[in-house]
Amino acid sequence: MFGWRGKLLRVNLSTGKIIVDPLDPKAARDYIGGRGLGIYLMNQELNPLCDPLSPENMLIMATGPLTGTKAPTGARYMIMTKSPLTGAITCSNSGGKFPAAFKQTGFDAVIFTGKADKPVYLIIENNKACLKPAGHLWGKTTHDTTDALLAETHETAKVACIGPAGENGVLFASVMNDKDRAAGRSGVGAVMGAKNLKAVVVNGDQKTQLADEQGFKTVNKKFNDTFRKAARENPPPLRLHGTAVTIMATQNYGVLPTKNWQQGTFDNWENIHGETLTEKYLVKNSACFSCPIGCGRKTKVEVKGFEGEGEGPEYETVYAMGANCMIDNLAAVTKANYLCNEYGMDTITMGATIACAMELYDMGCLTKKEVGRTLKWGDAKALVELTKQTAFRQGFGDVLAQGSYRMAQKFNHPELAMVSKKQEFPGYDPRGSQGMGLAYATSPIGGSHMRGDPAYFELLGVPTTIDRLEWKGKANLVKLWQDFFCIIDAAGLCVFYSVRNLGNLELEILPTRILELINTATGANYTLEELTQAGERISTAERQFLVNAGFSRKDDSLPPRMTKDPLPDGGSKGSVCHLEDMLDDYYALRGWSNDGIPLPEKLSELGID
Amino acid sequence: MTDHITIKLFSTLRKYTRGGKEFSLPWYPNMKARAVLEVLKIPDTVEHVLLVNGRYSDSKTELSCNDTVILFPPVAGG
Repeated sequence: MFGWRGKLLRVNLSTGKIIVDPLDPKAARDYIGGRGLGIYLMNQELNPLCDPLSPENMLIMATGPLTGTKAPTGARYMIMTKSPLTGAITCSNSGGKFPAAFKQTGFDAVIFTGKADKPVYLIIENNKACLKPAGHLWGKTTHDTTDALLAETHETAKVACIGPAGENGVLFASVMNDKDRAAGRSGVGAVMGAKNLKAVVVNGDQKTQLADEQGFKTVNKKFNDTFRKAARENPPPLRLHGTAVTIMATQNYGVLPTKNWQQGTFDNWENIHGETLTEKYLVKNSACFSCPIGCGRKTKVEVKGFEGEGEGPEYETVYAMGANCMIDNLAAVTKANYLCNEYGMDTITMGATIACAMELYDMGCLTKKEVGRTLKWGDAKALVELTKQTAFRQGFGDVLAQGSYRMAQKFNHPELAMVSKKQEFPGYDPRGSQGMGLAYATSPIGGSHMRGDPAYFELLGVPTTIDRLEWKGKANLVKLWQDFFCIIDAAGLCVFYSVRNLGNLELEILPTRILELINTATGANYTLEELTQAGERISTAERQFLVNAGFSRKDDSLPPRMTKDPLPDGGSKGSVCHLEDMLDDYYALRGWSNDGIPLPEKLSELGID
Repeated sequence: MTDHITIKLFSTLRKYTRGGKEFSLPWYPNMKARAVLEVLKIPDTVEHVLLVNGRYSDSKTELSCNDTVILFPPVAGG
């Protein structure tokens, strides 16, 4: 095979048995790879009703056919499993250098099942793999684990691992690779921890063979030349100031979630702006494998009490730990971000859960007795202290470790958790971005901006801008956009580059330019229609897993604050999200029943069993 | 103070400023957003998102006295 490596590594952690299976060429063509390959395998092999933290659950790390190639941003891999936070699937995606290095070992994906008796790590080298004891690594941070593994294996190796949060079953524990890149969401780290799997180390040097090397090079050069010319004239804001520059848009539209989503603007937003990060703490920017943008932030903080060094924070972190908690202290937000990276936790859920706790405290539903300290809006020290406690499930951290929904339910106010399917929203208020509300509600992983993010065309001008407050006609755009993201994720590309440069620049949202890359890489000769349909197939296959796990329309929901309480301030003042009006259209367009169940004729059309 | 509008520029568009992050321009009846782009000499080839009082707008939008006009480049980020 070309583009694909044609091999799957299967690791049974209960028995220690490791086997290599061929990659089914039809499955590769139909589901592309990455996220698509993951859901194909889950639907074939995983009991959708299993306990996510039991040995029965499987955990898949999958690359795509463009991962590790020189395609712009061909740097991504996907972790898929059943989520302990949501009970739905995960699609936890990360870049950095690990995914490309994984592909160089000669495998497309690794599939873990069972549970090891004692902590282990897996080392994968050219076409072979073995499990090794990891007892000496248990309890170590992601940074210390990475350093220790590089010292005892190969200094050129790349590492993905969990920290104490994953070991301790924090329901939103992440898997960190290259120290600071995160497969952040939905608790993939907790699943690794429950399997006693501390890390995966990859060290290979096998180049991926492409079907048409010269053709691929020509297509690549065309895209790179265009991008570089534009970047010379107008440097990408993401390169200059990182993703936290996005706050300039959300604040000015009045969709910056503030005070646990009680407001849409934050008076002190400029204190946590990406430009402020550049001025105060940026050491240099960084880029993932084959990325022309370079949005990564190497930062260092020397402010007393918040000292540290690492990467970030991203926009989602400054929303969740900053505005949403009314904290304008960027040093504290950056420190809490470092702690999440080192302990292995999702910064969105961490920040949003603390914000929810602050509202419960403000209402008197939580007191100093339960929290062990005061917890007022804007308390920067509380943010850092509670983040530490959460990773180790100490004190009130044991409650926070379950995410905002379970915490709010425990204190009798589940409606105060700003979640869909029990996963916290990213930083775009759907009352001022209607399509975003539909995307949150229908995302297969719960609240997310990475499974189809209408904020691009409703707020950020990519590929163009349409009326963000209009809900009529949005269902079709959300569907097309979600399916386009499936193709990006399955191919092994990054959304940031792809949404501006690899689709049709009109709102027809067709994967026109990905088609050129993927066909020269794989030789699969997809037509545009076939590649577009593969995106729809992945979306529908994911939905089918959710349906088999018990999900339906009742779970495609938003909290009442989003649908009933108008935003009180800013550029979206007076708006609510019209979710139910959009849902009917969405299901009809998808070929799903009015209860959100894929109809037999749609499953048959897409070839889903 | 005379009738005016407030302009806020962000990120790479700040190089077109007429004085800091935020500044005023005189307002006149029937003034369109295009006039702001022309006064600031922002070329047509420079991609931008234009908001008037927090609402997405374009160069044809008519401005009222005391409006706030915000300009920032497209952002692919999250």
